[in-house]
Formats: sequence, C-alpha cells, structure tokens
Amino acid sequence: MICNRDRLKRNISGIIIQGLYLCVGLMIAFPIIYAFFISFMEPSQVLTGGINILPKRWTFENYRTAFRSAPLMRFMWNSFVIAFVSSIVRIIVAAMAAFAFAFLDFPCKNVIFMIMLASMMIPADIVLVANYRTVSQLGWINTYLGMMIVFFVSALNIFMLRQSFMSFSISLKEAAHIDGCSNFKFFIRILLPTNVSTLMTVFITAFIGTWNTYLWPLMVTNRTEMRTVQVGVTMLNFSEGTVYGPIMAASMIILVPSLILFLAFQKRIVAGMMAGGVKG
Amino acid sequence: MQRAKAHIKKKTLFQKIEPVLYLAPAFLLLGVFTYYPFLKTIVESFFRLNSMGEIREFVGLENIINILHNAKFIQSIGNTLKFVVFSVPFSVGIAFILAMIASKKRTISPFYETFFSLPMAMSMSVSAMIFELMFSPTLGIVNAISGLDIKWLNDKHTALWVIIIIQVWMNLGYNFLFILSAIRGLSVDLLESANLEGANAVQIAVKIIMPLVSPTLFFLVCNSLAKMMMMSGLSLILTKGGPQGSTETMISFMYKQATENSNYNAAYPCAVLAFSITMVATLITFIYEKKGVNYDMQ
Repeated sequence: MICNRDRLKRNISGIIIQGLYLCVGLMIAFPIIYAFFISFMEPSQVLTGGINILPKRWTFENYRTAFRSAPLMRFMWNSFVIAFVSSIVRIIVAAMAAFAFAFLDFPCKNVIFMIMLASMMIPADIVLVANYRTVSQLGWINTYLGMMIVFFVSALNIFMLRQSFMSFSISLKEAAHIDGCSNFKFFIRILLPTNVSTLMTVFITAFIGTWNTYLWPLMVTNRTEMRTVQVGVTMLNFSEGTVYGPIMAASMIILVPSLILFLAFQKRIVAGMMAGGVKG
Repeated sequence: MQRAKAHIKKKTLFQKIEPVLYLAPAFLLLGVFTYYPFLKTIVESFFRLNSMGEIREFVGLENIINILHNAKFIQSIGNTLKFVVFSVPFSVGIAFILAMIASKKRTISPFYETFFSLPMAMSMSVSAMIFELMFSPTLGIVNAISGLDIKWLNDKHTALWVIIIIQVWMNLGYNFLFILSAIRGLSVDLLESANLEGANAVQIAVKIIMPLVSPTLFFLVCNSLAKMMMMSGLSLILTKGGPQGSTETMISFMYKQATENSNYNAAYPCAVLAFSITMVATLITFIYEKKGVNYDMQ
C-alpha cells in the first residue's frame, strides 16, 4: 500500500514537473508562436496593441497582402536556388578534398591539411569587403554565381567528411584496387555510397545555413528581383506604413522550409554539430 | 616486360598529380575567397586607396591611426565588447539551465527538448522582425505585459540590450543541444551517488556537472565569442547602428564604410582591428581555460 502511494506521489510530482518544463519550453518558443498568431490576425486587431495574442477571427488576409505587395515567390526561388546549388557544390568540393586527405599519399600532406584548417580562423565577415571587391570586379553583382561563390567551400565540411572517410577500412580499399578499381571509381562507386549519412548531414546543415544567411546576399545584390528571402523580408514596405501582420505572414512562410528540415533531421543536425565541435 | 614497366611508370606519374586534381577545387576557392582577401585586407590597410579600391600610395600606419581617432569607431568597439560580454555568458548559462532541466528523459521530454532547441532553426532576419514587433513601443507585447512605456529600439539606453536579448535567444537552441548531449554522455553512477549523498539539484549542477562538461562549455564560449565579435546583421536591420551610434558594431561600421561611402581607407583597417581584437579576446579565454576547464574527469 505504502509502496503504491509512494509511486502515486512520484507520478503526480513527475506530471507537475513535466508540465512546468513544458511551460518553460513554450516560453522559449513564445516569439515563434506569437508571430504565428499575429500572422492570422485581422489588421485592425494587430493595430489595437495591448495584450492580444490569440486572433479574434482567423484570416488569411495578411498572407494575401504579403504575396500581393512583394515578390515573395521570387525571393523564395532565389534563396532556394542559392541554398540548393551551393550546398551540392560544397559537398562535391569537400568530398573530393576529404578523399585526398583520407586515402591518397602526397608530400607535405599534414602541412597542407593544417593550412586548410587554418582557414577556419578567418571569419567570413573580415574578408567581406575584399570579397565584395573581387566579385564586383568579376562583374558578378546581382548574379546567382556572385551570391553563391563564397559558400562553395567550407573547411569544416572537408574536415567532417575526412573524419567520416577515415573510418572506412583501408584494407577494403586495397582489395578494391586489386580488383582493378581506380581511385576515382572507388571514390564514386564505393566511398560515397557508404557515407551517404554524413553527406546528408553536410547537405542539410549547408542548406539551412545558406538559406538563413543575410549579410553577403545583401551586399552583392541591389536589384529587388535578385534579393533572397532573408534580405527581402527586412525590406518589405507596405502602403499602410509599418504593418506587422503581413511581415509576420512573410516571416512564417520563410520559416517553414528551415523549420521542416530542422524538425525532420534534428538527429542528423546534432550529429553534424558534434562532429564540428570535436575540433575544439 | 618492357611494356609492363612503362605501364607502372605511367601510373606513378598519374598518381603524383592525382591528389592535386582532388584538392584543386577546394584550394582554388579557399585561395580566392579566404586567403587572398585576408592578405589583401591586411596589406591594403597600409595604403591609401581611392573610392574604386585602387592603390594610390603607401601610407604606413596612417589609416589605422585615423580610424582609431574616429570617435564613432571607438564607440563601436565599446558596443561590440559590451554586446559580447553580456550575450556570451547569458546564452551559455541559460542553455546550461535548460539542458539540466531536460537531462533526465521523461515521457514528454521530446516535446520540451524540441521547444528548447527551436531558436536554432530561426534565421537572423526573421528573428529580428519578430522581436521588432514584440518590442514595438505601441503595438508590442513587451510594453503591454510589463506596463512599461519604453521606446526600446529607439532609445539609446535600451537599444543594445534588446539586440543582446535577441542574440541570446537565437543562440539558445544550438548551445542547449550541445550541452544536453554532453550531460547525457556523463556516467549515470556518478550522478546517482551524488543524489544518494543528499546533494540538492543546484549543488549537483554547479559542483559536479558543470566541471564535468566544462570542455563543452569552453568550446561554446570560444565559438560564440568569435561569432558575436562579428555581429552586424541585427544592428543593420533593426537600428542601422542608431540611435546615436549606440548599437553600431565593428563590422556594421565597416560594412557602412565600404558600401555607403566606398571608403576603403576606413573599411580595411577596421577589418584588421576587428580581427585583432577578436584574436586577443580568444587568447584571453584560452588563458582562462588553463585554470577553469577540466579535461581529466571526462
């Protein structure tokens, strides 16, 4: 009996604690929930101010206004092209370099590897102005290539893929060679398919990172139709002055792709973070 | 026999250049968009440049001395340091508390874990727009709930604090996931024995778990320190560095010099100084690491 009552007590306190923690969670996520509700509010309710969180009447009005007054679809398309293409290129570039570091022998390999890692010490913002000069001299202002080119390589991703490739047994590679398999064939046919998981992690983190990036696309574009969503959303100007409803609606639309990717691949993303974290 | 030999020789020649082929794309890109601009930034900060970015004459340290006499830039260094000093400890500290809360697996823990990590999926510009509304003096929820009448982003005393709050919130998810996996990697026996000895939750967190996960905390501090030193986006979106320069950071100052004024005589030395200050700050944390971080117990 006593045992049962103890268990009951523990169950109840467990439920209370979990409810409390859930409230903390809702507080952390509050800005997102708040923006979600605002985006469905009638414009008049947004303007009343005060404590109003839940929409009195749900409406798609803000979404219609957002799509009508800004080329949101165009912004989305620009962001998608940039994020998708640069992530694919980044995987190819990183996998090739990682393959060389993991399996091939060449002079000064360690020194070259250290030089590659040293690039992580240089923050992208420090070289922003100089890169802007380079891209504008090449005539790539307002082009997809100009927006993407700085995202084509990441030392961190080369490092991650090298670590992953190193776990592949070298004797298996030698066996493949005896069967007449060239390095390139081994790379394409055997190594890449066995490392799909790491490649996916690199792709997803690269995609979210590029989708969310702000400063570089802002710098190398000045035509509205070449803006990315992240830049576009901060420049939305509605005729009625600053009306937050449509801005929140646009924010929600922009949020959806990265949110879906994040929730669907949370485990992969965390694994990728940890692999990057090991470098210390 | 002869042919076989030739075959081997040919193969070794190919083997010699083969690694180059695999490494070429990565190093070409790193060279053109990381190493070259880095060296160019340093070298050209010693020259006078025209508004097209062309070199005019060697001026030595003149550009750097000029920028150090610019009151706005000095103010932006102060703002950046204040921003870093507050946003880094708070984002790691709050994430540590959240990770402690979530460390024990419970029935609905996946739900609040997801909520805690959600800010990680947010982009800077969307977060900026949402918080701009929340801190809006007339329409915002913050003034409505607290009953305050503060102009937040339009007041030079509060604007930087709002930006610090946004940054802390944005970092929570990433830091939380990192610390959570470090805590869950600790041995269960140790924690249980502490429990049996009657240590309360706060004692366990501060005296036992914090030292054990200190390498992770140190990594997060260094990582966010380097990133926060480079902060510019929130200022550029929300306040354009104002009011009265109170939210100008080193990089937002540099960005404006380069894009609005085409003043590369200010932009390049500014980048060099921002980089140096970041390196010094990182070095200081590394010196502290020797005292505070415990690698043996893991």
